[in-house]
Amino acid sequence: MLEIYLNRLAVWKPIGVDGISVRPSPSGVSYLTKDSLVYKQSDGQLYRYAKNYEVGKGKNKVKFSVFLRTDRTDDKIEAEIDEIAKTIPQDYIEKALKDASFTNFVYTDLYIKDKEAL
Amino acid sequence: MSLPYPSMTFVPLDVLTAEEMNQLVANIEYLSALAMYSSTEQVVGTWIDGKTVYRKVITYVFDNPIPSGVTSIPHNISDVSEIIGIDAMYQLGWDQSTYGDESYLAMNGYQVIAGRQDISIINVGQNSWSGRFRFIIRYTKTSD
Repeated sequence: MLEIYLNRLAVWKPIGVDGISVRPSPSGVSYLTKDSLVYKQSDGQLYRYAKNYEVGKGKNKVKFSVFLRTDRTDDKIEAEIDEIAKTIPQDYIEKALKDASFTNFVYTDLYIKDKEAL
Repeated sequence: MSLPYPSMTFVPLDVLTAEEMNQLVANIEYLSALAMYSSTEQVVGTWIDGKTVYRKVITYVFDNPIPSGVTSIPHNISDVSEIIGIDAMYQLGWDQSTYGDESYLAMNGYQVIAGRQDISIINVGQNSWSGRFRFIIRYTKTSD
């Protein structure tokens, strides 16, 4: 069972819509954070962000999605995800997509900023 | 035409609410309805120009052998813009109980011409039996 990490980017297969997909998660979700391996429980709402990206050119072009869960609600999140998604190496993405299924995905070691760091 | 809830997308670890599950069921029911044929007009898709595609089943019975020449069958569809397709079968039989003992593609001895006002059957000399035509017509409308 894969854990929920707050603010951590995951790579998965392309989602059904282009553009940012935002979905509230139920409160009371248990999650881990970058700095702590102790579970915390959300007392407020978490949000799931997901968006499709492309990497490579021509025949080597690969479409994939990046998603994460966060307690942030500011309007800078999408731009931040865009910036970080650009830095994920193509071979890493290809390997992740090879193993991707309806439930399988790969966490990167990349995080957006914590709410407190803003 | 689009699904009742067209923008649903989920990723791993999403927990679906009851409302979202009901929306998924509504989408499935909508898609299932597309497989149901009806003698009344149905919305079944979107054409390449973005217009709504409709489908209707039309039945026409020839109590006597199909006459030579042209027989016009009104399809009672208003505002036809473009006829995208028509399937036609002629189901031979002596009467209602035996229609379909043998069924022919309409092109077997007949021409079928779908027009904006009606469907024309042209008997090009076939010695025919009594029977029943079933047409499945797909079209767009000027009113959309």
